[in-house]
Amino acid sequence: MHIPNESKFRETGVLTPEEFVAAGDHLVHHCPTWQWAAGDESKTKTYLPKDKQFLITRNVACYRRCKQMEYVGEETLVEEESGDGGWVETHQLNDDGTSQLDDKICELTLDESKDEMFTIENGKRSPLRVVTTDDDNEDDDEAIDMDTFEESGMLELVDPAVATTTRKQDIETNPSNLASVVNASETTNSADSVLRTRTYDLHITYDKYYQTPRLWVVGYDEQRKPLTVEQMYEDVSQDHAKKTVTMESHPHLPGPNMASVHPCRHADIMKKIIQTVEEGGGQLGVHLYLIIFLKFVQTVIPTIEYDFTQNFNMS
Amino acid sequence: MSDIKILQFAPFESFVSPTFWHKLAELKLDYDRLSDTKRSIFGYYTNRKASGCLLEVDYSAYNSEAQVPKFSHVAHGNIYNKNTIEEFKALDKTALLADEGKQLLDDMRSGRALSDASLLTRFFVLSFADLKCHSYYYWFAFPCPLTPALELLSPATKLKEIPNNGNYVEAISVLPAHAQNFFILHVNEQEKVCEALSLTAALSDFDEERAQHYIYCFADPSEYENPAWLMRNYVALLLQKCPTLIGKSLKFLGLRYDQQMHLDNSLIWEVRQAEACNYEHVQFVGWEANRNGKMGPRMANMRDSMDPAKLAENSV
Repeated sequence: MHIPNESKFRETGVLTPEEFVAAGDHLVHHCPTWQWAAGDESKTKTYLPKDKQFLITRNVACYRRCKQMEYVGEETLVEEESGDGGWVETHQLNDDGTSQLDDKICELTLDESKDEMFTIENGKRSPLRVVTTDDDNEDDDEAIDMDTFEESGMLELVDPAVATTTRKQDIETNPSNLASVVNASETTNSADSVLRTRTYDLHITYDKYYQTPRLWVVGYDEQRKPLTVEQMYEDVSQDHAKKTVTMESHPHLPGPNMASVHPCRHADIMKKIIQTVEEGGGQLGVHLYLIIFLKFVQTVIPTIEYDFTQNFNMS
Repeated sequence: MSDIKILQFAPFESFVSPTFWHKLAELKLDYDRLSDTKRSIFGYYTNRKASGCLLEVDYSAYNSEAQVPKFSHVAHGNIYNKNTIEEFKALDKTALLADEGKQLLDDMRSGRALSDASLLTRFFVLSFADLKCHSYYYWFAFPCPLTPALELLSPATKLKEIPNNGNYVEAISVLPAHAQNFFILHVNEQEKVCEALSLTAALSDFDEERAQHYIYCFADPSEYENPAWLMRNYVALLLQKCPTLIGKSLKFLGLRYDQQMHLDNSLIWEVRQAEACNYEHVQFVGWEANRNGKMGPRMANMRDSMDPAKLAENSV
């Protein structure tokens, strides 16, 4: 495919790979949690520098579910309009240890599962699937299997310098976890862990078809197990879930499809922003592209609190 | 003798990203096929807001050049991926650990580990990929010579409780991030010196007099009161390189950044190794215990993200 090398940024809102790199360097410089990544070497794109294939920021906190924000009721929606005050307070109460709220939101999660819209979106699948695991029996079998691998002789070597450690997180959130077999793609075991802090990795790649940046999100639960697609949709604005946010193959990573904000509208939105700035007598440098880009994709993932320190003024 | 306290280390905990298995499956099917020769891989650990004492691997482990995440440091490893579960089970684990341990000692003796201290952070993975069932059996080890125990001379002290700790922090901040994995602080209050030195600079022309003012620093991925496992190899390198330090009181500083990139909660341990290590007959430790705390491998079930049937079901 033809890779552009002439700037069309001002006319059409698209980027050349060089401009993407320049805008990426600017982002990394001003928002220090972002960094360049090389990706899987077998997937290196020749039109980008080897060590600047895409941008990544890791472990971004996501305290609240988007679905909760939107479905809780009028009261919350009103609060939401005045910034995110209401829900931030809720979160702090949880930290103080008031389990009452936990219970309340737990119920809410279950209510949502019964919600008609949710069932339609899930097709034939049971709505409760998200909060229960149907693999429990198989896992138990595997646990028994694993016992036969244990080697006794190796413990005979006495090593007085090994500390016995137990992770604070494990004790707090899932004491039974110690006994379970690692299952990298396991869904959450209990409804209440849905409420714990999820984290996200955000990636920005260069989409060579649309000639724009493209945002990817990968979510993890409190144990840092990857979230299922359904769980991730809870953190996407419900107007955008499954329409703007789709599952596709990441250009630089191995593995299954990942959630991505579809780039088909990015150039248009950017063009409008450029025009608005120019009508106001200003001019928008192409190096600011990603800073602005992150601002407008935030409407799709409003509860993911990524580092975003720069302000951008339209006028 | 019962009042002697021994410094204990927080063992590394392996943390494997699913992309690590996806990439392994790809390599096995497209390149390695029936070959089961070892591959060298990279891992990483962070000392910012550390949780547990993690050593992580993801798809990038197999790249030819390491590029670690921000606030992380590189670790060097190998993967021994066996063709059958029987080979995986039958393999002599003690011999493999000893073999890897000897390579580590070679790197210490030859000086390679001095010029590239990241070679002190070592791991290897024994694995079997059941590609049909999408099950990955694996066992991590973090090889380390079983050297004489270190006596802890006083309880661990937080950096913020040290007078003039601002000078330490300032000297450390001059170092580029990648050089903060292992280095030495030279602090001499009388001569008003507080500078960060690379291991090579501080040790190659070793001056015993000056070494009294050394603090041996390392990026510490442990969240516990105990320093991370990698400090053991650090101590081994130092005492092997500078035998006059045996029997002396040594200060180690484990750098621990918080979310705001402050070093306040970094810990200082004052230790002494009373006797030299006999490297001719040294044994090695480092196999990771499984989730039950037993000596055994773990298994990652990747059906949900690898099995075509499961993927079809999930992509409604």
